[in-house]
Amino acid sequence: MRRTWDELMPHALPRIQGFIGANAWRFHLSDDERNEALSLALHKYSLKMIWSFETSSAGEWTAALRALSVFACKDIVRKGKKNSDRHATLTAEREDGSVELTAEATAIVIRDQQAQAAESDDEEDDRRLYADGRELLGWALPQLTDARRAVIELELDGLDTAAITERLGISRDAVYQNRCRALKDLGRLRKQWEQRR
Amino acid sequence: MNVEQIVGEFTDAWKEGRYPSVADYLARTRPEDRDEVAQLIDEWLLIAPDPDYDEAVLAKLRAHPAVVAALAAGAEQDEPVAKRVRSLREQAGFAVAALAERLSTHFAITDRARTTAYLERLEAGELDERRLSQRLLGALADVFAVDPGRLAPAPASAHAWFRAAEDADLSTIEAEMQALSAAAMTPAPGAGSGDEMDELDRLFTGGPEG
Repeated sequence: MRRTWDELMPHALPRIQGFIGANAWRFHLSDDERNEALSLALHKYSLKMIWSFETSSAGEWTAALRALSVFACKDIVRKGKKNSDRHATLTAEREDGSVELTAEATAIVIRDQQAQAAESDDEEDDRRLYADGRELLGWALPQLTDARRAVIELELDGLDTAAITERLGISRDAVYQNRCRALKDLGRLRKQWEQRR
Repeated sequence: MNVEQIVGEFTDAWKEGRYPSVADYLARTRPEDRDEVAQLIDEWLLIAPDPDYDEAVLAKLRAHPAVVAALAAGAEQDEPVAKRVRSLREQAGFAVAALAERLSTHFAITDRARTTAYLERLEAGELDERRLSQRLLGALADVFAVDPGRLAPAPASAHAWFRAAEDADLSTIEAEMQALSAAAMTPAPGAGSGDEMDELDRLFTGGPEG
């Protein structure tokens, strides 16, 4: 089993990096912290997910990779908060003897906010952990407008943008527009789906 | 470029197997649009098909330092704890007696000769690694200055037994069944002998909670 998982890891790397890149922005991680989150996610993949992932659908696999990535980002936020709290000098004395908050204290406040965001998202991410992508798409796609649905379905069939423009007789900008709007719709529908489960 | 163009170019690059970097695309995005682009790319990656990567990209992915390190950690986890302890001890430059001294001090154990003997048995593979206490493994990780995960025994992959037969490694399953069966038939150390386990026994043979 280890060999199969090891062979899958390089194929999973771009998706894990992508999830971490998108969520590193959300959690305000630095470049170094983003690299640390990637390393942590891959170690969790290799040491834990291999033993705990029990299902076989592609949708669940992708959702689990996202959960792994988001958890790694949150762990880095928590670790950063802990370190900055431990070493921070919170106040400095001005020349006139009055006391002001240091930049480190401000950084702690920002870290606190990030950590709170990470905590409040825990529940949402737990729900997302094993949401089955195929089942979700089967429910969500019929609810999109015809134009948005057509673009996403051709995307999922693996067609590139040039082929989609040709097939649907629309411009590249129109493909981009429908793709973005469809992704927004799918994000909204995903939340509804998860609340129903 | 607007949000739709940035996301459009990212998804095109993804599908073409060009291994796009989210950070690069966000850097090209207007600051006020970055939240939205990050969210849409996150959503895209949940449904995006796996691209066909060419051999050059696959070689790059396999050689990524984070992949190499994670694969090494996984391979290490498959090694018996005995071998890992010995290897980490040697890397740290400790003799067995010196390691025993550190552990004895840590756990306030006076009989260092017995600690040494237990460590020698551990490294010789004479102890059941599933009976090693978490406290001991944590202390060893501290002494070696490594993440405690590097000394965690590999979990039993019970769910593998329920996989389809063509996926299952039957020899592994058989070995695990025999190990579990043997463990179930073996009395806990000290059980029924009337001997009380002391701190050292609990650390090396008392189980994870010992």
